[in-house]
Amino acid sequence: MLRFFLRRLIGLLFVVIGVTFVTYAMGYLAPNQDPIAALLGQHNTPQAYATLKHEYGLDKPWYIQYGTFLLNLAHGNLGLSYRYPGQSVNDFIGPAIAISIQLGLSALILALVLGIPSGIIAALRANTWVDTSLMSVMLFFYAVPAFVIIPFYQVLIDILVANNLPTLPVQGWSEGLTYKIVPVVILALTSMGYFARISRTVMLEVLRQDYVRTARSKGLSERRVIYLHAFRNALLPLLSVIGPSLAFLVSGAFVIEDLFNIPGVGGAAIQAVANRDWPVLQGTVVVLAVAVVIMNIVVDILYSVADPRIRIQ
Amino acid sequence: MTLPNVGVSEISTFDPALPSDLNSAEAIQLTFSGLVGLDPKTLNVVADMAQDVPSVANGEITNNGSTYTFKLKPGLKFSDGNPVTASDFAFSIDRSLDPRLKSNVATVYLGAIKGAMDRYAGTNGVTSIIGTGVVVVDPSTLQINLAQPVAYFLEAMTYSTSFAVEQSNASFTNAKWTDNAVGTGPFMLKEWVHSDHMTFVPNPYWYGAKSKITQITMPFIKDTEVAYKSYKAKELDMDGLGATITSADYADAKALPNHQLQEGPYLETNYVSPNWNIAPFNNQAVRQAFAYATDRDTIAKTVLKDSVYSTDHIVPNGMPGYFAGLQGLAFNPTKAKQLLTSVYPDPTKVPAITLTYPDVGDNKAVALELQSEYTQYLGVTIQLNGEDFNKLVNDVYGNNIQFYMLAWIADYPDPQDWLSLQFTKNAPNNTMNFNDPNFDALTNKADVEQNQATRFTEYNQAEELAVDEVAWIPFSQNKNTYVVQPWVSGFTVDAGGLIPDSVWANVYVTQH
Repeated sequence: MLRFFLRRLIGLLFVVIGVTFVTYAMGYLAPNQDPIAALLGQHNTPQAYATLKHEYGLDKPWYIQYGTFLLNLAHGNLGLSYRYPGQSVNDFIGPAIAISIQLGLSALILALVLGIPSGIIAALRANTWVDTSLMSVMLFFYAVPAFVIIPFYQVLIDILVANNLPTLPVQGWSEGLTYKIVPVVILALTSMGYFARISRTVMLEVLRQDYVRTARSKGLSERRVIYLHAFRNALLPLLSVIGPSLAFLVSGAFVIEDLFNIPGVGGAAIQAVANRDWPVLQGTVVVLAVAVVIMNIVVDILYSVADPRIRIQ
Repeated sequence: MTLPNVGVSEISTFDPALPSDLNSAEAIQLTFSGLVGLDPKTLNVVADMAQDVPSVANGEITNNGSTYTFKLKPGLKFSDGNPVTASDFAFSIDRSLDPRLKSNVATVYLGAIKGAMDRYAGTNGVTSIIGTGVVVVDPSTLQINLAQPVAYFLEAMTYSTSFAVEQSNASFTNAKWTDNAVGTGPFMLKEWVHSDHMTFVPNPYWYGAKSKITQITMPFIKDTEVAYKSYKAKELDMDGLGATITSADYADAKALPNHQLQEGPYLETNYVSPNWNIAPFNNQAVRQAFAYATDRDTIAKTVLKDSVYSTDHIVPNGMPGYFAGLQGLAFNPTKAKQLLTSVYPDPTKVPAITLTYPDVGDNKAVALELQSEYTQYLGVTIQLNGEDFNKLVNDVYGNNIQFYMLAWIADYPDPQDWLSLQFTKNAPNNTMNFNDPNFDALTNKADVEQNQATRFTEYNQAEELAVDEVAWIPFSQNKNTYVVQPWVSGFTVDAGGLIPDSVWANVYVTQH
């Protein structure tokens, strides 16, 4: 167990160095990405430019800048924002993480609660109209990304407003529960489709296994066969897809947070790109990379809980 | 009242020493204030925390315009109840210039003060201008000494870099002090949920007329179209603060009942500029030909759907000193062709021209229209080059971009910002290499002239020269557009896009 964690922690270190280096290199090498020019706007005179570049330490060689970043990161300090003078990236990202977790977890739970039972029902009614209809709907949600669904929602809002009909809020998050409904549902839809399809496949596979046939031949009730014998075994492959799908959920949240004006990590990252605020972007990338790695470790642990044959080594 | 701050997911700063964007200035304006402010209608300088506006007549501008004396109103207090004295202003102005703050606007507004440039750059051993540039005469009298006379100094003082911050509250090194910032404005900060919203409540020690508004919630909405949809869904009391209504929503907003759309001039001029050092624009007749071939009405009405005003002025309408009688180079294709053929009888022999434009918003559509107009009316071929805005601004300072499209937004409401700062021989913004000694003489005189009417006349003459000789080819002035719900009364935004302090006394929200 200890070796497992140690190995994963070392892996995490490489992931963080890797993603920060790639992000840093992209920011450094990309054309038109000068944060000082962005800060100065119409007052970008050569003198003002030189003074401010020096004050931000951007006149130093790239390896010094990157080295300083890594050194600060080792102390848990993500540095200072360019766009928000004097604001530390830690202060900036902290509240954003809490909101993104809230959004991501709510959507994940909703996707699991709706997706897995739908997949199981489809598997139990395989090749009937129930299966076809359910899977068609799920395939539709799986295939249509959030950034396509959101404009349709906005058009719907336009129609409702034009007819003086009540609507759910157009944007926002912290104002109340009603503000959370639409972003969570839209974020959950894609994953729901994914989970439903995986559940159906896995369940069908399990239902064909000998031990299920044996359970039925023993005269166990269908409910007992499904929940006790089939479902538990179907959980295992499902768990293995939840980890990677969390990363998928995060990338989906980027779009949702941006279009619903939700102050999460994804929205912060998109704004950081627009503002050439590389420290904030690097901070969000580090946070997301760490989150994905940790979630994968958690899933590995859950895997061993669900299947006693597997032991973490 | 819900007052959205649109176009950003968070304000850049709430520190009055730092804002370089309208969004930050909107929040700062609610909570902080200065010695002088602006009249919301005329943009003339009016007294704010000072008893009156310094002038030569009242003896508060002396030493040939190099010394300004401000007398504070009696009984001024910060929102925490502590008194405001002249030393608070000295501290605040000096602090704005402190290099630790890395303000990228402090020298734009305070650079004229004696020692300010050294204080900002940390050069010549200047670590404070208190006692030299800013002098506390007594607790209610502040004297400011300029390095040399500048007549636009009071206009520059209306910017937040001169606003009062409390010495025990404002930090030089910890930016988080603004989470609990104390100011002197009509409202004080109650809550700031970063990247989400700010909440303001009335300042009990506010020295002006009290507002009937009991609370302002300022959500940050970065997408302008989302903000407009939210407004239409009645989630917001107004929309258009920080970022005006877009051309895409303008027609819809105009059709809203009860005249919800408010519009007026915004102090931003959009222009194309020919580089005087690069052929064919090294010839005045060619430059004028391009100016005459620019169909500004088509750009404003057809391309930008009336969301801007067409203009051939450099100094925008709404500015003090605006030259209503300016004879610009109005659209005249016949004259344009004549002028061009007087230099190039065969227009196909005109050297290759590339128009570089900032590839953001509606600029590409405008560039395409200009390309079509110059081809149609002058018979020349124009290549288009869309660039990132910040790169373009960076590049034009190399003085070697042939023909470029940019915009200028007022730093402060004075023609000096539009003329001297742009076109005098050594002005940093003279990126088109404009060169006219008569222009320099007129603006140099106007920059120090204390008689406002005389200096405006001098600026008007200078502007006429810059337009005639084609320093810029202005084509549109932005509109200040915002929408206000029918249940909100008395709300107004000035031509600089800000809500002046005095407006709040008249704003009220009825039951809805």
